[in-house]
Amino acid sequence: MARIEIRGLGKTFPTIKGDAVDAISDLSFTVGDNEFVSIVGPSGCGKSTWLSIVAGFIPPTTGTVLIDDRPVTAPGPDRGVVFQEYALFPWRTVADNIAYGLEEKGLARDEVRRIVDAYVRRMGLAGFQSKYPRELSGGMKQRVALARTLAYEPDVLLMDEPFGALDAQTRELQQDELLGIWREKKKTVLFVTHSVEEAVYLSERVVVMTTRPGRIKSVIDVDLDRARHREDVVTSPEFARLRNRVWLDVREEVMKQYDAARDSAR
Amino acid sequence: MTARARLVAAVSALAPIAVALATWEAVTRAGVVSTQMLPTFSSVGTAAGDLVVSGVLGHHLLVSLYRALGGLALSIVVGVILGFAMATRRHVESFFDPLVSLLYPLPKTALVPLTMVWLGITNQAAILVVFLAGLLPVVVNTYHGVKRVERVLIWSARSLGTSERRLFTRVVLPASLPYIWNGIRIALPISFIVVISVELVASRVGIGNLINGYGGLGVYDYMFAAIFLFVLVAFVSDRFTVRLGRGLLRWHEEPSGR
Repeated sequence: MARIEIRGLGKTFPTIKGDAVDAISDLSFTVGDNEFVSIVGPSGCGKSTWLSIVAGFIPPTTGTVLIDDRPVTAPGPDRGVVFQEYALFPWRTVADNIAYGLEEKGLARDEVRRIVDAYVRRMGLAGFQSKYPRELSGGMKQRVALARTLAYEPDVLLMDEPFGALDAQTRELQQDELLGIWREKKKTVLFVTHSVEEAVYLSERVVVMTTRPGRIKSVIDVDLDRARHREDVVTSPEFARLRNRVWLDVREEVMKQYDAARDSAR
Repeated sequence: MTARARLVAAVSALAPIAVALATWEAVTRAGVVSTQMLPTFSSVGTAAGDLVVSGVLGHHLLVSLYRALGGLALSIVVGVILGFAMATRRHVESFFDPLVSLLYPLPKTALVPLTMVWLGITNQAAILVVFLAGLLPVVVNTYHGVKRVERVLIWSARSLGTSERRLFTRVVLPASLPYIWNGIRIALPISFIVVISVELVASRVGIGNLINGYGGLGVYDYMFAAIFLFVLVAFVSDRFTVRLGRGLLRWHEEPSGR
């Protein structure tokens, strides 16, 4: 149960040359309780910056982020973050990685072990508890990262291209796994991706960003019947229509960026 | 590796040493080199046995090890703290960076006359020089290790509930341990080299003093015996450190074929 309210968010980064670049500008958006929202846009549009501000990793230049009406000032365990590069602690085994947030919470050792065991089973990691991250495949690392984040039960999941480094088959399996978890655990999800297909398949709303400085170009409601199997969803005419709609908006921004680059090269 | 392959590896590593020692023995026995200049290997072996059994070696070795490892321990503690501070605080870095660059090429044993004036011929003087010699490898390696800690690891820990204050012990230290360990491995043989050098000049006890004493009296078989026994100790402690590192950094090693 959590609502993310974003009000007039802007972020300016200084450059080496001494001037400043606006990564995002004047962003306002609200993610409702238990809603799944994806952010897509051309590369460099500030979608990861947006997520990092909500996570509390970097402070905004202007505007505020409210989680259930409380302003965000620092990272906190109410918001779980999953990165594309997994960010597992390489010196900890699978079980110890999942246990990390629980240890920080100060839970008793038995309690930690009980929760870790449950997530090991849930995420299909049985038999790998005492492996180190370097011994795992990419898909498995991402499952550990997700388990580590889910284990301490944040209300909000912030995901920065979590499946971007995975091969197509693994990626689809992970997407369905995530949907299952979202339905079961009732999380509010903010999901950054560069895949239009992934955004439409997973989310209830898709936010398309403009080219830099990133603003909201359009918000597209996705009302797909999610009780069906993956194949039935992705082959349905509504899915094709929505994907096309999002894709056209993204393409327009990518073309703008492309034209601007060509003009400045002249 | 099979037992057979291991045996072959051990033999091929020991063969050059055996050849060198056999040549030594042959050359001195045949009188090609006078035993006044170079004692026979077998007489060195006898002297080594005597040094061990009589307890003379043990007495001097304990002193040398105390100085070497005491100095090393200090360089590790101070080096890790300084390396971490330099990597995370800009003003600390800009203050210490010129000092580190300047001290790096200085042979630390050149400071022995000065430490003699300050501290006399004491354990503290020897430990100080060993400490200075071992400090820089630890500082430099820790600095690079801390600089290379990935930002997402810090961010992950922060969002998983780790406070800013606990980041060092929970994330930065373990993540940079492979680099710190590398610095310690470089500092260990340095501490052995430096302690002997110091004891050659400014000590009334210790392996370096023992070597110098026998050398001054012209008792070369005992002098060689003291050198060889110390080499053996240094070699064993390096192997031990490698083993320890493998256990400690199991998570970091590249998967091997075995």
